[in-house]
Amino acid sequence: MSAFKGGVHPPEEKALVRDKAIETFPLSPLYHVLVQQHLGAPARPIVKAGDQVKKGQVLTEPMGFVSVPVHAPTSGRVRDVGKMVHPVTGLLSPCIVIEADGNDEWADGLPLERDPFSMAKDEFLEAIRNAGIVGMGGATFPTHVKLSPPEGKSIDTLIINGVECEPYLSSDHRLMLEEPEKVIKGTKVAMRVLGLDRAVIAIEGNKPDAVRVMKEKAPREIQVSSLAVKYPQGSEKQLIKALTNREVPSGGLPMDVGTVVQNAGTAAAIWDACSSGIPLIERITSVTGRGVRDPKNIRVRVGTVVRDVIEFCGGLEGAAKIIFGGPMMGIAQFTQEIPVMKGTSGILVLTEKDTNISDYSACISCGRCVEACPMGLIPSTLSKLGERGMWEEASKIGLMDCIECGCCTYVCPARRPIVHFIKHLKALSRAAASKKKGA
Amino acid sequence: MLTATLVVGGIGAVCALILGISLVTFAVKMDAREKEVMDNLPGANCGACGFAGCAALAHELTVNPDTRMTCPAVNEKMLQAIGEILGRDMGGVSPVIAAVRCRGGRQEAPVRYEYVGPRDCRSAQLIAGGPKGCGYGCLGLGTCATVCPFDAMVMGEDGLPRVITDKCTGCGKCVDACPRDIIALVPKTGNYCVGCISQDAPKDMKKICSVGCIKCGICADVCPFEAIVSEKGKAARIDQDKCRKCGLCVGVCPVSVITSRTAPEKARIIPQKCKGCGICEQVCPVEAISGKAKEPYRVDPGKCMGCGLCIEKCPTEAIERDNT
Amino acid sequence: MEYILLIISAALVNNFVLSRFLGICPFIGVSKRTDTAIGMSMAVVFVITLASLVTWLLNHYILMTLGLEYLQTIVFILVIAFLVQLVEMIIQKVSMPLYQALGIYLPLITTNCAVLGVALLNINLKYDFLEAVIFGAGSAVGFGLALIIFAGMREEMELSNIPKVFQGTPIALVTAGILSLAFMGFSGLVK
Repeated sequence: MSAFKGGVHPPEEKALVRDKAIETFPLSPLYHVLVQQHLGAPARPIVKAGDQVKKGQVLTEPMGFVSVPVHAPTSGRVRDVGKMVHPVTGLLSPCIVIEADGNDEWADGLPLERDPFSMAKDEFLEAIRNAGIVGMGGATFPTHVKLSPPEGKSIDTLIINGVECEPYLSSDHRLMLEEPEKVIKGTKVAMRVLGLDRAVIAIEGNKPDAVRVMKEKAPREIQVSSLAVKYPQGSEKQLIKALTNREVPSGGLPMDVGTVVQNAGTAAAIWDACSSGIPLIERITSVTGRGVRDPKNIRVRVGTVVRDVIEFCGGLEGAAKIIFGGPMMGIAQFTQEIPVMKGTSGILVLTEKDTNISDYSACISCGRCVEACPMGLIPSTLSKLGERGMWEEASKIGLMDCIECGCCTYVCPARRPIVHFIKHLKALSRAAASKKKGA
Repeated sequence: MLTATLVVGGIGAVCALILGISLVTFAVKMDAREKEVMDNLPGANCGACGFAGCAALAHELTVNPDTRMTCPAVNEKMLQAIGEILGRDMGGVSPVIAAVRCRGGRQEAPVRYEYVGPRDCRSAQLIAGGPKGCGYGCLGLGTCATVCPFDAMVMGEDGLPRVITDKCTGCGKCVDACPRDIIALVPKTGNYCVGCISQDAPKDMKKICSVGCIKCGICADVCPFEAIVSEKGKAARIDQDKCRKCGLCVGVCPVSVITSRTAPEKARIIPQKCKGCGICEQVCPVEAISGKAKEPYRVDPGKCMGCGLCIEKCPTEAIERDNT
Repeated sequence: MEYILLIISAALVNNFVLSRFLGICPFIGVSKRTDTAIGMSMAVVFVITLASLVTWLLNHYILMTLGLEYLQTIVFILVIAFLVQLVEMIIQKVSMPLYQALGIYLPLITTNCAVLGVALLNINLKYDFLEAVIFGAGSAVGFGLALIIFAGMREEMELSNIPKVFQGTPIALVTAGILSLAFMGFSGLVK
């Protein structure tokens, strides 16, 4: 029996990088560290042009609880605090440019040596926040906020998301294969913070080697669960339903049903932050797709320019589309002059054959999208309303419950860009709400 | 016959009685102002205002103070009455029309990526701020044309929208729909408009758009009526209240970004009435009139821009519009 | 049992709108949205049922007793107009948005041939009091059913890409015809 209704089975395409060990990307001469690499309140740069910085030094000051700092990925000099195209919005955003001095010297005191299990809960949260840790599955929600649910929300389940259901991507897969202890220790820290004595690490069944390794290394209190392969099993709400049979209410969050979900990469980063004080300045990214000559999994520092990354992987070959993330929910880019960010789980280069560049036609009401939607919505009607900008009617039929997973767009025979229509409706709805507030 | 009359009359009387009682029992309090406003509207229910009839417009005007008075058929007396009823200034009778302030079509303004998605400018704007190289220019997907309830906006082959003057009622739906605020409502009496709202630096304009305003300010300098505002870093803007439609600015613009809606009617001097005083020659901003003292003057139709200043200033009303 | 058959016959088999083609005006005019359609249906159910009742009584006890059957048309219209005025007042009080949404179609129920049709059919088919009332109610329910189904369909069609020549009334009429054809399937249900 299926764990959640709906969902699709796109071709996995993971063979391109699944069995390739992580390669460390060499030091770059220049790093572009975007100031906003998290969901939430902005942060303020605290360095200026000419400043000397060390690796791991904090560069920005968070302005609010739901905010985290960014750090220098290497030692060097701040060239300027300018602007660069932000991969998520596509707009020019504040960016701190650092010229590397080649020494790659850590900031004073780093790396620390401490025993995380002797830390108190607030010390954990402060360490996690100061390290700038955000959800590395791509959503980049500040981790310290997720791990401190408000009074009244009691948590009884911690789920570590090693599902990685997006096709092409293998970054979490390789992390679990090559550094299982880090993930497990990070899970234990998270358990301590939440005051739990059990946790679950969820892995999709198409990664049997990872399941085996994790099962071997995991202590008794951490259960490793292998889930049936179906996209979007790795989506928070669907994952919770599959493991606990609880449904997050409409407009609600996982904490409303007593659950916290963290990405496997985030767990590893939590361990680094708590045990050694190392901030989030690098991550594992899959550079894959048939549009790049030599697909790889790389350990790359935040702020590395994508053009250099692609060159490192053999350069482009017949590329038609460059996507940050996976093919289902990733964001297409119009330039290679963009930096790697904390949430860049993949850099996907698709050829024309592998992507859908075609015009759409009218909805034929075939119902395939209704079958595929994991949230139980009616994407066909939403797309028709989207064509006409009728956001009020759309809000009445669950517009805000859409997780933008892309299942509907994937199955549509009329090739309608349904998620795009939904994003348009959401934008209209937000504009109307802010107009009302401002009026 | 009598019985029949009595029966029908009797039934009628009973019905009337019951209705009379019900009128009192089911009385409804309405905002009396709404009815009064409606009485002061033309009552044609033409829909030109953008609402479903005069009752709907009256309702919107009464309950929502932001509603624009978009009825093109209303006169000064009606406007004043409505203003008194609602206690606010309804503005003068000056019909407005939509003007598209962008001339950068597919040829003139290159794109930076191939857009694939909903054929809607607002949707395209969501993707990295739109496919156009110019961050201020028209995206060309025709959302303004789609929302126009009067079919007064048509997309041209060049990827730019065109306003059909006869059909446009100035309802403003296109203005709200454009994600880049390119469309503005200008007085119908105006004729000239700068087709650009760019705020990009002049040095970058060449690669952004071949017809974009380069903020040189020449138009503002040359305007005899100080009707053009040229702020630093912003595209020039014509103040329609001051513009006398002489058309000088069109000629001097190096990128030809100033558009005109209609070809102006040129002036023609009636020789029998002309006393040869020469005032017209003096006031003409484009030097289109010439002549000898005491003899009838002549307008050169090749130079005349149709601003009408000479017609105004002629002491003997010897100049008229040439509408041949 | 007979009464159930009467209702089925009035509502489905001989649907006033789709089989008898009476009351087309509000059918096309008030079926753009389902909520106005429901409001209109309820108003019509009220008017037709009461009209059946009152006209039957008036006809039986006054017109027939005094031999004034020839006055049926005038008296019935009088009664219907009175009932519609009453309904208008009630709706305006109860739900102003509905009142405004129905607009001109509310007083047009007066001239709705379906209402007069029911009243006259009651006489023609020689129904007794109970039968007349049930026939009236059943017909009204059938009218409402047709209206609401049609409104639902039109709401869906609003979101479809209909060719310009068919947009608006043309596609509505075509759809109404197909709906009529569908309702023909009920014939033979009741002899």
